[in-house]
This record gives sequence, structure tokens and C-alpha cells, in this order.
Amino acid sequence: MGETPAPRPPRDGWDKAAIVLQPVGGLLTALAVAVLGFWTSSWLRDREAREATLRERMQTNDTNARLYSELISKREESESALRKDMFTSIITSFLGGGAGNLEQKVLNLELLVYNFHESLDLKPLFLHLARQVRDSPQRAEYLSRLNRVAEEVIKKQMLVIEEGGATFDAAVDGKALALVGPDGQSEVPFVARDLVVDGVARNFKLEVLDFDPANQQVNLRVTVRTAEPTGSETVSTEFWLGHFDFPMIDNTRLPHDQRLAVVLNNFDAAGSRADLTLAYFPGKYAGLREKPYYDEVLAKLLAAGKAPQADAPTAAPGR
Amino acid sequence: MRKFLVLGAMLLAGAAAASAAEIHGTLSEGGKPLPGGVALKLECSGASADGKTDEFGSYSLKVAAAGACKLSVDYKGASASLTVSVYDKPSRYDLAVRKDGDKLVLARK
Repeated sequence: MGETPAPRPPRDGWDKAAIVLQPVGGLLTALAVAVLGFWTSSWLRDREAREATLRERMQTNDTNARLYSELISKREESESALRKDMFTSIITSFLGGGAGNLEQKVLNLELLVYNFHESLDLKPLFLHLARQVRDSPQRAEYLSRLNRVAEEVIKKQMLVIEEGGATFDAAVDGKALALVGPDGQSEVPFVARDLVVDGVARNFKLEVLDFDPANQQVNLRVTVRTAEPTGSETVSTEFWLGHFDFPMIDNTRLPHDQRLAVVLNNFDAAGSRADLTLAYFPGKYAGLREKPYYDEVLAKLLAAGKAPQADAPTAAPGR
Repeated sequence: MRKFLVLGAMLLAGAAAASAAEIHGTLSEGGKPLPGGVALKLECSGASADGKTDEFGSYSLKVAAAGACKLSVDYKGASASLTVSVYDKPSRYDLAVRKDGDKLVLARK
């Protein structure tokens, strides 16, 4: 006897929904994959385009920077060559290459000073020429020209130095070998002032040792006292000061890449009076003749590196 | 003759004016420049010059004499003076004023 198959249980709503949704689910999955693929590829395309633009911009910047540095270095090279030729031809006239008359020599010195006053100490040349013109009938004119050019250059240099440094003025009484007091009348054996540059405070004491009206020079002693963590440090220097001492070139080197210079503003031989300015300034304002010491450069670099680190937040200790 | 004398005198006066000595600089109080219009007077032997500070506290006085001169400043109803050296070439005198009680004190910076 054959068995009759058991009747199927009637399909409910869930079964019907399953029948309909199964193909729809596949379709939706396919759609979702297609949309995701499209979005991903378009996002990748956009990113690639952005990166390409950025790369192109960086390349352009690199090219511009390279071109600029090449141009600058070529300009420096050509300027250096020009200055070298100019310097050689002028200095030859003083060192026996060409006899030249006094007028030519004074003119050559003027050219040298105006073009090389930040690189060379031209005081010996000034003094040499001042000695040479002493017997000339045009002595007054030549000396006036030498003094004028020196004065102009000193003023130019002081203008730069005063930007980053500190100064004070003092008047000298040549008869008493003393300085004039703050009231403008009394004679004081020295003038001492505190000056601060780049956070370094120093005390400068200025004394007059001798007065030479014939050569218009003053012999000075400057004592510098600096408060250091280990105690007070005192250094002293003595020198003759005249009209041809240029502060950017003829200065005294102090620790922390700083400089001290004194300039002669005015000299009255008949009245035995002189007017001075003492300048205390950072080494970066000194002439190109002097190179900074390596340890000072390193100390500056280390100090510059420490400053941003000090501002940065401290990292959490590792566990 | 009289004409020559007058001409000579005029030439001498012109030469003196041409070779006028000058002092210049700034006037300040407590590190700040003084306002404009502060009166200054420079008295040298036989010559004097008057002037006033500009809006930045700067001044310039020219006088037809050199040597030790007296520079006076009138400020806030008081007067102060200082002996300065005037040379043939211009000299810079940066000055500071301060009140010492009722007295005004003038000194080189």
C-alpha cells in the first residue's frame, strides 16, 4: 500500500517574505558592493589627484628655491670677483705697485673705505696716508677729506650697532686726564655704567690714561665686570683711540659673542676736550673680518634647540 | 671806507654763521621722550641760541661759538642747566631730566 505524502504545512507570512526577500537581498548586496566600489574608487582618484597637485606644487617650489639659490650664489660670486678685482687694483697703488700722487691715494682710500669698511681694518692705511700728507701744501684739504670719510663711516656703523646694542656717551677733560661728571662741570676719575644686551648685564668703567693733542688720540682703559653664576668676572683692556677706529672692525671681543667698542665723536686739541661713545653690542653686528668661535656657535645652536623643547608639552612616563 | 667796514662785518657774520657749531639729541624723562615745545637755551661766550623740542623729544641748537657752554631746559615750571662741550663739528647730547623734590635735574644719558 502506498503512503500518501504528508500534506505541507501552510506557508505563513514569514515564509512568503523569505521567498521574496532572498533574491532582493542578493540584489541589494550587489548594489551595495557596486556603490561602495564606486565611492572607494572616486575617493582614491580624488586623493591621487590631490597628491599629484601637492607633488607638483612641491616640485615647483623646489625648482624655484634651487633657481633662487643658484641666482643668489652666482650674484655673490660675480660681486666677490668684482670686489676682489677692485680691491687688488686699489691696494696695489698703496703697496708700491703704482707711485700715484697724493690726490690719487686719498681717492683710492676713499674708495676702499666706502666699499670695504665692514671687512677690513683700514686704520693703518689712514695713519700711513695722514703721515704722507703732512708735508703736502694741500695738507689741510687731504686731512679734512680723510677725517670726513672716517667720520661718515663711523656714523654709519654706529647707526647699525645702536640698533642691537647699548651705548653711553662720555666727555674727556684732557688737561686733568679725567672724565666730565654728570653735572657737566666736575671732573671724575672714571665713569661707570651698567648696560644690558641680549639679557647679559655688564658694568663698564671708562678711565682716561693719556691725551695726545698732536695726533688727536686718547688713551683709555675700559674695565668690564660681568656677573656670572660662579661669581663676578672682570676683564680690562687699554688702547689708544683716534678718528680712524671703526667700531665694527676695531672692537674688543667679550664672552657670549658680544663686543665692546669706543668711538671718538669729537676732539678739541686747543681746549683739551674730547667726546666719546662706548658701545656694547652683539657679535652679529661686528664686521665680516671676524669669525665667531665654534664653541660660541654651538652654544647658540644648543640654546636655540632648547627653547622650543621647553615650550613643548612633556611626554607621559611609559608604563 | 664805511661801506667796506659794513661789508667786512657782514662777511665776518656770514663766516661765523657758516661755521656754526651744533649740539643735537633727545630729551627724555623716565626713558620716555619729552613732548614737543619744551624750551632749550644754549649760552656760549658771547653767543646764544634758543630752540624747542619737536614731537619726538629731539632738539638741535646751532651757535656761532665753541667751547664750554651752558644748556638750559625749562620744563614743568622749573629750570635746569648743564655744562656741555660744543665743538666745531656737531655733538650729540642725549639728555634726561628728572625731578629731585622741587628741583629739576638735567644730565647726559
